[in-house]
Amino acid sequence: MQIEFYFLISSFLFAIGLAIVVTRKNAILVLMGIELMLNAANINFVAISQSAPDVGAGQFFALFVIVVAAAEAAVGLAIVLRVYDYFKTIDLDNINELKG
Amino acid sequence: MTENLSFKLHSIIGDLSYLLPEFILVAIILLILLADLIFKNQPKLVRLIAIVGLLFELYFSTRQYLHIDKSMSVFAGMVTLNSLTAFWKMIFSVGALLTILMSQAKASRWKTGEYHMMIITIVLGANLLAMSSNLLMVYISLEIISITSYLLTTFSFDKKGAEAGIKYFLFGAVASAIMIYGMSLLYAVTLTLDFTGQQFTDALLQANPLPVIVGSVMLVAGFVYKMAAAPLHVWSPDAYTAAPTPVVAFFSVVPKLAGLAILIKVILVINLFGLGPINWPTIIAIIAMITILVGNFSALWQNNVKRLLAYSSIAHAGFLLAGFAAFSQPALQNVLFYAVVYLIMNIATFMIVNHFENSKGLIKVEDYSGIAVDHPYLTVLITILFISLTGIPPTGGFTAKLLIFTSIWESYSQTDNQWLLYLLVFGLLNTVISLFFYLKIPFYMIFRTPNKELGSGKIKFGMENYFAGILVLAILLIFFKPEWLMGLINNINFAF
Repeated sequence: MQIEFYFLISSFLFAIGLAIVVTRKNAILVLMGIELMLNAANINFVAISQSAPDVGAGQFFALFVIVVAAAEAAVGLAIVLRVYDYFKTIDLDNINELKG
Repeated sequence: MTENLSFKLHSIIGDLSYLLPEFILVAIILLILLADLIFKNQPKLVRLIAIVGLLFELYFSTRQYLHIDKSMSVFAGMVTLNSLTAFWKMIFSVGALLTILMSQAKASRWKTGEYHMMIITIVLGANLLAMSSNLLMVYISLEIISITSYLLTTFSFDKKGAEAGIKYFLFGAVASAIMIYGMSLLYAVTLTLDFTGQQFTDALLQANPLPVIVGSVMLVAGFVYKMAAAPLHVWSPDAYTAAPTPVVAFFSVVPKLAGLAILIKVILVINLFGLGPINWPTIIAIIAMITILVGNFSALWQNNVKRLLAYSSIAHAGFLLAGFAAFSQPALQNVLFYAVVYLIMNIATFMIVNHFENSKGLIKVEDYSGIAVDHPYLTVLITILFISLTGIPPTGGFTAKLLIFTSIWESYSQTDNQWLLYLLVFGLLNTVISLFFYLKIPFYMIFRTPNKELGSGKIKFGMENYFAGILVLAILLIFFKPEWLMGLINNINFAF
């Protein structure tokens, strides 16, 4: 398969992820959008590593992104839980005590 | 294949000694966790481990700064070590040390072990970020800083802390996702992750400009976010208002300067000696102008002292970028000079603000009314600090701003880039504007009548006030003897 298809699919995924992040009000859905954006980059890395002189580098980058994304999601969900404790909602429009 | 692997492993083992400061940081992190588990509720022990460990780390970073005279690529090309990165590491460890010294008063109420562990983790991430010469390393060290910062933001354990935490987290996660997408585009163009290598530059020079532009803008956006420079600064006022004051002092210095360090390193590469598709000096000049503008004008209306200082730190990020926009070796030296002065004056200001907040509960600007009657010493200190933050003599802040403006002017007269002239005029005008909000707090302290409700009377004179006094002396000293600091910076070998 030509490498352009991978780029198309990854940019499509990235755009969907960014659209979710921008339009959704629910913190968990925003997190899911971020996950899509990260995986878009992963597709690029794995696809390109096929033609790179050092095959491992791109694939390892994708692996690292997956691991770090898991750590990030763990921290993020912990913060979301804490927000839910205080605000009784995870709707981002209603979490607006800090202004100015 | 196995030959190659064993060769790589041997070279990695041979390089281990170059990462001694980072190993010390990892050792402190583990020690603190263990000490916190075994001896519960011993904040003094944890603090002692953290301070002694950071002093060791500072010592070994200083040794690297003194003894490494050429750029060394270690760990299979993942990190580069030279006197510039060693200098950044010294800045980071001094920032962390001062933060730990000032977090004394409230520390007992927090989860002390985790708090110190996270501060040191951020220093570890910042050290690795300043050294990294591989996109993978950049990503991982940036995430070490980010993930820990999200947690530290919520460390006041209240409603506002949680809100600031989620805002910071969501913005940060999106920014890092955008950054790695940019990295993947640059990887597609260059087929290598090592951005300091020859292959990376050559491939960028020959590549189709569109992916290079999109990729490098996305990559730089991640660093701009970490620096809290406009247009990606929106998280910082909220995070700074809600986070504990020592954490804010730390955020405004270490992650910001780490972001600046890697931004400088990456942009000097993707600028491609001025032959690339993007005119980076102009872009940086524009970002710097917007950042200074947003920081200063938003600060004018602020009532909350920490929020005001948050916007002030955004404006200072703008001045740091403005110095870098000149793109020359003297300009980079001046940026380092500004970074050191900024570290000292910002942390000292937060020390005093933290002291007032803990002992008297002063949060708003009005709360500071008439403090001068009871606390003449602290009033003098904070006035000097705000004068320095504005950039008026006789303080180090003036010398630093003067050097930045000089390098912009020199660069303008050499390159004739109109934007640099605008930047210069703009920076000077904004220095005047910043007077209004910086001098608001000393004005309230000295000329307003005391607020009776808060109760007057002397407050306990903490240890951190002596440190603040020493830092203020350092600020004054930098004005009268700038060559001492400049001498340290001149020793740095800017071989990229």
